[in-house]
Amino acid sequence: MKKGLSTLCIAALVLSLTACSTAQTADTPSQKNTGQDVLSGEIRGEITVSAYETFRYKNFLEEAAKAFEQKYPGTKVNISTFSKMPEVKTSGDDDKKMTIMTKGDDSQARVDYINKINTELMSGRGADVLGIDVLPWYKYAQSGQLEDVSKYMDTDPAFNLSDYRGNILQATRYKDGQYIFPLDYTFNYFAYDSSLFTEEQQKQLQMDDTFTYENLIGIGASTYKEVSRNTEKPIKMFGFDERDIFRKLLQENYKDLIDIEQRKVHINGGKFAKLLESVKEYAEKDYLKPSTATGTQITLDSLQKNKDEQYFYKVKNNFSLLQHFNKNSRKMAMMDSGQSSSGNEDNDKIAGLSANSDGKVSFSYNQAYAINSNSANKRTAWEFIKFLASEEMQTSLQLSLNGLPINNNARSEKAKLSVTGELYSAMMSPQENTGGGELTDEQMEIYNKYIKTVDRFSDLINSFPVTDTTIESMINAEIENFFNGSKTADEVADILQSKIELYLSE
Amino acid sequence: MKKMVLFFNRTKSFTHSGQSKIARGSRGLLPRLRFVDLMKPFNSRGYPLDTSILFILPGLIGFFVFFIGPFIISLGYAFVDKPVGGVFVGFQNFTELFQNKAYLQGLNNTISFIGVSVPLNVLLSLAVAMLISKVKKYKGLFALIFLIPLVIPSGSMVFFWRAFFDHNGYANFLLNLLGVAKINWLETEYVQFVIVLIFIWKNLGYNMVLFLAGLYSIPKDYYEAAYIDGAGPWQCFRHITAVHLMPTFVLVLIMSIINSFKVFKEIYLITGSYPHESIYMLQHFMNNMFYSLNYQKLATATTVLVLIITLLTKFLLKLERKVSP
Repeated sequence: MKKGLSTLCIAALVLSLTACSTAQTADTPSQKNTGQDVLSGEIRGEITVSAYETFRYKNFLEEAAKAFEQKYPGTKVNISTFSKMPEVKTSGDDDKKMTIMTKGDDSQARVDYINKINTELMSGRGADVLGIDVLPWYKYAQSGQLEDVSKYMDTDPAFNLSDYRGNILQATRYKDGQYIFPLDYTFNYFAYDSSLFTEEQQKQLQMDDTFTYENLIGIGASTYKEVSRNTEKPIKMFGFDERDIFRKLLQENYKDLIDIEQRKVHINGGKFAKLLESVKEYAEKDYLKPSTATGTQITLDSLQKNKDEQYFYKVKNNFSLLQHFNKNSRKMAMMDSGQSSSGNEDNDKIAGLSANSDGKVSFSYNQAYAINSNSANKRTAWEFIKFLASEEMQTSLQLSLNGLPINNNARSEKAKLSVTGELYSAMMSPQENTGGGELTDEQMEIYNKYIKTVDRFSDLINSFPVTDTTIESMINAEIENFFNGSKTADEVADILQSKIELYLSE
Repeated sequence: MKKMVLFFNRTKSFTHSGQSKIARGSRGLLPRLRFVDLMKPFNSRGYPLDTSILFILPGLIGFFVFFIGPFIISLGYAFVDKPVGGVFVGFQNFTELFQNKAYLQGLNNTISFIGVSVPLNVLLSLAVAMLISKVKKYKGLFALIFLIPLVIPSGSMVFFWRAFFDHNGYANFLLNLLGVAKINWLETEYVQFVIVLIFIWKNLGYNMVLFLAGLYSIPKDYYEAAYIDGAGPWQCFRHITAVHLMPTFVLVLIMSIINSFKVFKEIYLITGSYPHESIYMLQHFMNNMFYSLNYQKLATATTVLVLIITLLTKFLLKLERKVSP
């Protein structure tokens, strides 16, 4: 009996191994494919594109799918998105209209989506193209679930790297491979209220292209002390609270503290605790805007009140650059959480990009894509990504309002459309929509200034720290203990060091 | 042929336990049959088949389909580099597993936890069982009190333990009353004491019942005879109780080791997927590998764990057979 059972076990083991080997043999040709092998295939058949964020991805993907199917007859692109659309509320009258889109953060839905994709990928199925929004893509890349598209970029004669922002693609490389392909990028820059600074200080703020928070505080500290003492007006150094500024500081120093690629954690080395302490110091010196209760309703009145506030420095994203150069343009306030505020912007001037002490300038994207390495139709999947990055799709308003296209021609074209207002025509009433056509001399001047600044700042981008939602949750939970006073900065750093180290060593 | 021998042996063993008298003393001879036996199917040798097999069969099929089968299939993952289209990599996953810092941390913590909590739990439950067996009145009530933790759902107790050991919880409140500084119970090495306490609280009653059953099965005459011969309590314990409790002791040991793996549920609910490094157990590693769907590491870790538990159980059962009276 024992012998029989042993034989049965061994037979089952051998069978299971044989099954694995058989699957492996069947897949070997595609596993070892060079880019050329895939590119020699036909662009046809069905592919599925999956993304979590419905709001960011769905409309753009549907528009792209339709155009792609027309361009390549015999293809079919299925789009699948997961999250709920944001709640849209419009208030105000004809003169002043405000539309607020509230997007709740449903962490359970996010986890469910990640689990769904994990299961699909591990079982050899899953979408051919994945929208990289909430997915732990570096883990997939590491376990061979994502295709390294650099082999297609190198061998596809129809793909010319110089047509795209090379530094953005370079920054998103992981372990010498290009596993994700971002379609757009956004960066943050510092602006300052020139009415609060002396001529000498303004010269200092114009001298460099990049600044750290420490630099800015060093320049404005003495004036801030004086101004805040002599005025009743609500003036602060920054328009965000301690948690917000900490997140920004962390983002800038992320790779120095947590290097996911190298699996190294340096949180208890002193730098993290220093960041926490410095944020506390900023709050104690009254540099920061007090926290507002979450769920506070944004109204036209609160926006007006916000305009009465003055801040020495503001962190703005590239979308604000256009408004900076085109003062007459229709104002479109991009408020991500309602926590940060810009206050009065009448005297704003551009200082430079936000960087860390090593000069690392990072960026974020709205949309990025990857190819499932188990996809049966990699040829069409790659062509679809290329199509998304083409000038035709990159000038679409659906791509993103605040993101800069990765395609160089599209970036210039989109800038022109933004200056004339044609890009926003779909969002305007017929009376408002006066844009379109050739650029006037005035518009050309605005365009030149805008595109020059965008290019100058874009050239400085050199970093894209790989982040992880589990690590972010650990940090967010733990820093709360520092801000509510139950733990010291060193205690928080030690706990996080141990937890993140353990997580990365798994 | 082997099948027939198996049935024959099974029939014999049931005969021994008194549940069936079909084949008593009938090896190689035709059995003496009763009327009810005629209703049973016969095997090729003319022996009636043991119908108890039919009762075992559904459970056995379930065990094979839901436990043994998946385990054997998962074994396959331990020898390939990725779950889909994987290449056979021999023992590479095992080598990598034993170089994985988190796994080694989990293994070390699990061994330390078992090393401390299991003996402590066995000794405490034996002590409690002996005390209860000596109590004249309300034996049932005392036994019930110790059994209550077994039936309380983990979720509700986790709420209590968290509130008790929180930084601003009851434990620190009590320490504060005594003038002792607050302790961060759940995020420092003190958390090891917390989980040992939870384990003992949860499993003491179960082991105590097993020991009580063992104690009641020892004939009173042995103790009376020993007292007449001048034996003291320690000698009685050493030469009568300990010797006759040996099978129970081994059973309790095996059950405690198995239950020590189950403490993960409480640890997980109290401290999450990534607790303080001192209580990061093998189950944390495997649970996290399951959620990140790293089948290779999960299957390899499971194989190693099953191997360790099998060898340990086999060793304990062998020991039991050796030392039992």
